[in-house]
Amino acid sequence: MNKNLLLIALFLFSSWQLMLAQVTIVGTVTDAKDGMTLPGVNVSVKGTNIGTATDMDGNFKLKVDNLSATLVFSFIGYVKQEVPLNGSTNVNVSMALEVKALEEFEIVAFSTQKKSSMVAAITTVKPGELKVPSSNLTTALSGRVSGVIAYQRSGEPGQDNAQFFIRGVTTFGYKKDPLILIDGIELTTNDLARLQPDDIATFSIMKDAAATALYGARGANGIIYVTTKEGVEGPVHVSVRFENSISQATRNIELADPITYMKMGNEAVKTRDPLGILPYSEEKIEQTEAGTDPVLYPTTDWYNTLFKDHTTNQRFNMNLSGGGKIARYYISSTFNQDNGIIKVDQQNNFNNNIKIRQFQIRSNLNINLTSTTTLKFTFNATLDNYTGPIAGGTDLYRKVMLTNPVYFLPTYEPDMAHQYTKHILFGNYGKGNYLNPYAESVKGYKDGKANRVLAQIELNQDLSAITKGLNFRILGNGNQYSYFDIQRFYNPYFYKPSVNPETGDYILVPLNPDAGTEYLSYNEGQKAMSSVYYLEGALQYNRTYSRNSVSGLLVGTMRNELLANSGSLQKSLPYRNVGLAGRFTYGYNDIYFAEIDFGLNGSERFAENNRFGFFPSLALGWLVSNEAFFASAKRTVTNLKLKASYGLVGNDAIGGPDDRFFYLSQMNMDDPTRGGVFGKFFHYQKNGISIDRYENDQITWETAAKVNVGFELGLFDKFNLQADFFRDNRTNILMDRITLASMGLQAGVRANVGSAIGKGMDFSATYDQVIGKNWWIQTMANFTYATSEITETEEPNYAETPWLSAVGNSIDQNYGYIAERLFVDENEVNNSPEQTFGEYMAGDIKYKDINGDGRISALDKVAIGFPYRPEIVYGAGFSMGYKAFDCSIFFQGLARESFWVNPALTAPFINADPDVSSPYIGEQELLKVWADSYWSEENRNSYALWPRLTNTYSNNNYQTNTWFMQNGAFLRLKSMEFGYSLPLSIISKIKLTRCRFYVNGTNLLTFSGFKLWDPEMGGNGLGYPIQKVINFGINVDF
Amino acid sequence: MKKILILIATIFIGTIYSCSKFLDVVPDNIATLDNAFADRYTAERYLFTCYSYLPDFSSTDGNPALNSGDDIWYAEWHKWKAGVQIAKGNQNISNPYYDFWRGENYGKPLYIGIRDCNIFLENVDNVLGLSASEKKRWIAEVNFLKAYYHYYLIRMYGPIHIVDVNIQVSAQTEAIKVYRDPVDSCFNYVVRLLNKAIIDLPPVIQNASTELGRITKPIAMSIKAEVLMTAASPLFNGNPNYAGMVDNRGTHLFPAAFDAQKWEKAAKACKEAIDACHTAGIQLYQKSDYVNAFTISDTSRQIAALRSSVSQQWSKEVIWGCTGALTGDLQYNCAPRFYQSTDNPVGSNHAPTLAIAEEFYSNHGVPINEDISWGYENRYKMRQATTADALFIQPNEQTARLNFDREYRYYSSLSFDRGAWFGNGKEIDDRDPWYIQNRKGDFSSIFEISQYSITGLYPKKLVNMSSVIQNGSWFNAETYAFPVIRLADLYLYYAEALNETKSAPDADVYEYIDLVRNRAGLQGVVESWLQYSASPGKPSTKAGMREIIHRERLIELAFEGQRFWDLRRWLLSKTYLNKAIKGWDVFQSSTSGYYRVKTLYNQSFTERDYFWPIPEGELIKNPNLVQNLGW
Repeated sequence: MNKNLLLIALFLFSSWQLMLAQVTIVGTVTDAKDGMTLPGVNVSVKGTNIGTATDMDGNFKLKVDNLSATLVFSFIGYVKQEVPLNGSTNVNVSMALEVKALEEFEIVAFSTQKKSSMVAAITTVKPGELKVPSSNLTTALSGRVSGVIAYQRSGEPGQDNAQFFIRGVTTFGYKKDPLILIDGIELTTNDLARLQPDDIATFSIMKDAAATALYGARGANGIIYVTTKEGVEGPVHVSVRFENSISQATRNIELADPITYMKMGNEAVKTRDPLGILPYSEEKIEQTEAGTDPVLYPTTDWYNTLFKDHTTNQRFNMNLSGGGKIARYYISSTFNQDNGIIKVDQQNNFNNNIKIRQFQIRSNLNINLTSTTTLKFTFNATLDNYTGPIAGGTDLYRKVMLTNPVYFLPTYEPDMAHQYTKHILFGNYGKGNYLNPYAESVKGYKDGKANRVLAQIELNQDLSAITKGLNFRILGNGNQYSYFDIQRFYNPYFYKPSVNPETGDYILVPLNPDAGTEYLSYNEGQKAMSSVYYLEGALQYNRTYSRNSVSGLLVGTMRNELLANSGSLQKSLPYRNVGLAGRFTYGYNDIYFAEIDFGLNGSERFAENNRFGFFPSLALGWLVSNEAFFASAKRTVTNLKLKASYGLVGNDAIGGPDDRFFYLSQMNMDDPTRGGVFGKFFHYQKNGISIDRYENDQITWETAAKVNVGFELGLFDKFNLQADFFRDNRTNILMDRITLASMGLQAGVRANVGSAIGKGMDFSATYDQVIGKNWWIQTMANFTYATSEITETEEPNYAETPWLSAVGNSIDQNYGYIAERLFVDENEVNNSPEQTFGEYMAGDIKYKDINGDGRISALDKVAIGFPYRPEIVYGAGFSMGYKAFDCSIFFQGLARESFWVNPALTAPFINADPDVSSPYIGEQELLKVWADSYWSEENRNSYALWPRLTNTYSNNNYQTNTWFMQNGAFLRLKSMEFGYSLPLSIISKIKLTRCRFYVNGTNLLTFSGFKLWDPEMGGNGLGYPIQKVINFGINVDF
Repeated sequence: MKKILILIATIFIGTIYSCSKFLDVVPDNIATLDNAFADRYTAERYLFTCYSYLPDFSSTDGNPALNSGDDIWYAEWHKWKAGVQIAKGNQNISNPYYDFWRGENYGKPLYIGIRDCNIFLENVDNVLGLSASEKKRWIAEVNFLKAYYHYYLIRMYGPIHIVDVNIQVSAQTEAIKVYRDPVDSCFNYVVRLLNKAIIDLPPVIQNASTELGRITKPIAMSIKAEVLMTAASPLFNGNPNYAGMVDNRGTHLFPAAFDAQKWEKAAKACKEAIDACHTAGIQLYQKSDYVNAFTISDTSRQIAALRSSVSQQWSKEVIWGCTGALTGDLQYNCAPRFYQSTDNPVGSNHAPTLAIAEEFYSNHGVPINEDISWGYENRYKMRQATTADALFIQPNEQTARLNFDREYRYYSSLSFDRGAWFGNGKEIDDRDPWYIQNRKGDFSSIFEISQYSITGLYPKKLVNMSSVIQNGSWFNAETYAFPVIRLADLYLYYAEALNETKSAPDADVYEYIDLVRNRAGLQGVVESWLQYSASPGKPSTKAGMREIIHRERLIELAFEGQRFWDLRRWLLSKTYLNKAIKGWDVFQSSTSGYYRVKTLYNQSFTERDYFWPIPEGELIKNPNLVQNLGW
């Protein structure tokens, strides 16, 4: 590639010089794809330094010495062409877009490899496919990248990262997601989410042992490897993209009307306790229904009170690239603004809606210090400015669900006594201790900043002087992350209306005149800082001896991370990894390939005797289509490669993030929950001592033995299929030993005793076709199937109750009770197996007695449903173009996933606030689906969706069971796009090279049996909904 | 090429070497268990840690004995309370309430406590700078705690697994599968530990300002008496229902036959404990002990003294006042509202049931249904109070006859609609006390679904005389150390044990029960029954006297968390806890409506409820544990 660039530079240089000649050659240069003329193409005479460039209309004129000369046409991004004149004076050339040099080389661990010689399972994605109208790159992964299981559970800006796993999950440890490397540096999911697709040069997924073994200790869960663009020699090239999008919830939750709420609220009390006090009087229900006095008999639609139905977001990205012989640059800047759908009260002068403004600057600079030495500087800063509601958007959705719709209005209009009151008169009930989500939403805001600044320097020294093909590289990186937030809020004043007996008007009674404040107070929120240093040195050797090609790589790495607000002494100590890795590849005649990789990694988490792990791998490949005997078939089968790999990879991120050093016990020497108070006046107080972890120097790496078998198939150079089958044997998974309460242990005891198998397959297929002059079409399909199975786990002896055993089930399997139906009557309750979870009666869920002991208890739990992470993720779509128009459609789906509608969080009338410290009383809303189908004494429907009503927590019904289980499978029209590029003939007049307008949308249609909320949200459906986005954009290059 | 190989080798070796250095990030001085016993100060923390597993005796969410029986009931809103769930018969094996075995659902993790005690005992010798005498005392305290935790589990679960020495953390799966020890071995073990502790414990706390609440000799001896009383009682001593309980090795976990010796031992321990208490200056709190700067009537002084014997700070009668959980919250839950305001500073939800109100004696010191002159049949009828009743009931107001002519403990322990409440900022004139107004719409009545007494009664004795509601919006509780055991308790234990050891009660038996009665302003048992009871000879028979002692305990120790365990050890829970829970109809505003007896719940208590179930999860993990009968 460097050679090409040099040549281009050489020709550019030579084209400045014009010479006298005898013959004038004229011609036009056009684009092979769309027939548009190409301005600025270099035209030169081979072997001389005579040359010119095409004008605005793609025409050129050139004088040559003789007509036997050869013309060379070159243009950045296009394939260079040599055209012999052969006596002609009129030369029309159409130039084809250059298949990018980088595409021929694929990114592999610490290096690049020729695509044809690759034997590891690595999927590469075109960055363009990751362009979605979202400020979050992770939302683009699902269904677009084979080998990745991805799904998104929340649509809240800033919290909308998709969860993604390479080839599913095969561990019980805390780190299940892949290692993320951006330009070789380990970064976090958030950093990946913030990457701009415009800036990405390559995006690869490393899946098998051959691909990941070099990362030894950290590669077991796969790797996402991204590189960013670098400058290309040439004049400055500018690309600008601006998008404005409208987003709204894909689906909102439907609630029952307030009258039904009250009637069922009364029923919930009466049906359990005939003596109970009814919460709503007949009068209240009648008056509310009549709607005569909305103040005294309020009904509040809290969803509409708190949330708007749509919002708009903006995204802007501009990048510049170019350079000369000495230096090349790529500079990009991004500004994104994402808004939430939370309403703002006009009486406040602050914004409590979610607003994330994100700035990003990236600069990649390459400098040729000498002919053999290059230096690369990378600087990257991501600055997130957040303002939003105090506890976040998801929390507000949760609060709305927790609020009674008929107790009070969100706010009251001032009455006579409060004419001059400056604060908002929020509604409340009782003593003012009920939850008013509107007050919670508008009472203040959170102001937060998250910054990541990264600087990197890389020195590349060609050591051909020592021996040909030897190369040395050293890379240093420092990056720092910081986060803080501040909350500013007032304490809302609450009022409740009461009728003035004299006038009949209502007056507002203050409920918390002492506690409310008109002024703001503040809380300092979370503060987090971390600093990472990384050093990498690599020696690389690459040589071809006639038919044999050999390469070697030896790389040493060191990483050090320190956290500022870590929370404990042990966590405050540096996090370190050190590694030595190597690769040796051998290729024979571009037909047979072999590769040996190893990683030798150390992690500070383990005792000295277990600190280092060695992770080797072996891979073989056979490029059948290059065999001599295959020559006849090569026209049809343009590419056929078989490959296989086997190797070990480790994982040191086991246990939990709080487990810093397994070989050390962790004591809490100042534990207030273990303290005591003595003395006459109860003043002599001392905190106690507790143990958070027992020492264990036997704990070591989790190991994955990965097998991968795959093939690549290309037909007619148009159809490409890449398929891989894999099996991942995880052993030494750290897990809790069985302990008995009578041992009196304060912390779990753990050992590397678990093992599991992950297996499955993934494939991706593409088909590209150009039809005639004006049409082109590209289709793609992706499919990933990944399943797991626990093969060994610490569990009691379940020989007699095999259904309790986790062995043989997926790691993500859920266990629960099989719900037969709802109890028909008391008689059935009395004559059925006893259920041991607490009170139950007719209309409550009846469980199946699996072991037949006449009692429903933990012994009757079985594996129910599919795993809670999908096992299948797929996507398919096509793009097509006609002249300047283009259009693409992409469908995505997932399957083999179960999720649960949380019965406790959707149970009407109860206070299911998981925040026990909450000072407010909540009373849960009633979902319309439950109101439409529930068991009642009048209508004893044993198959109603909701069991007998209750106004208290029903432990019997809220057990994990099949009654509330849902199939998470869905298929959706994930995206659709229409674009139009202005013809070059027009835009070239204003010196543009590209100007494309487009409109696209995401999450437009969903097909699923589940209707309560967006099925992709799974069990998290009461949170901030996933968004449907319609986006308008313009992309200009010049 | 050679050079390159050397270069590579050098890099390789160099890297490996620097790698292991690089990974040594842990400095010395990381806190480990050794640090906990490095010096006296951290060791003292460990001592306090051992104390921290004591149940929260005064907490309605920590002490099952306060609200899991038939004496206290709650409004529906408090249904989730563990005690309420047990009281309603909703105990279960999956996730038991008040699970002290695992330390879940409001139970303390007692086995963790025992392990900590063992760790302390194993390491205390390493502590530098700890004087020999202090070390002895600490060891004795920890031995006491270790014994108490075992005892607490035995009382709940019956036979338990004794942990005398800790099992290794890294013990293999088979080694941890322990068995339950026979209940007699369990009791013997506890007594052995207590005997060991008693030797080195101080007779009194000298450094009261920093150490009051720590274990003393009288405490350990009194608890030993209680342990032996429990072991001698019918639940554990020859209980036919459990005689056949065996584990998978065939070991019998309960004694097959009754052993009269056990009562002898208990009586002896009681007497020794009483003597030790007397030596330490612990005396019954008498009328004269109540100090008030103002002139008040003798009657009010009597009632105030009875109340203060429990809820005064460090009342002279308290043997073991628990400082771990203070009583502010308890008082909050017990106190009624005294006047109208927009706010409610008190919870008022810890409501005594009507059965308890009926249990107290008449003013003649005998049960109201035995008192020939009291008028038991008309107890729910109305009667108008006169100025003569002003110390008990608001004059010129109507209330149930049940509230008239009762013993002083009725008025010191309970409060009711139109009842007087002396103290709480009104201590100047006992003719001008607070009067509770509890009918619907009155200021003491239901304020919110979470804040009212569902029976219309309030456990007055648990509220300190000096606790004050300020401005009607803030409750300022004068906290006190909740009495785990007090002298009257011990006297009644002794009377009970003596009665059991004798063929017929004699003066020795009467002596200690009469001390308690006299303090309450009542005549002795024999005289009272002779004069006022329909069955005057009752105190002369063993069974009759047993019944009298039982009732005396239930009255004297009402709301203090003894009734719950007493009924169990007497095997009487099945009788008492199978009745309807009743209260006044607090949602009525008219007198006639309010004083209609309302059934709140029909309790049911079966044989299995005498013991807690062992959590099912533990049985699954350890098949050697045998579940209690019926669970």
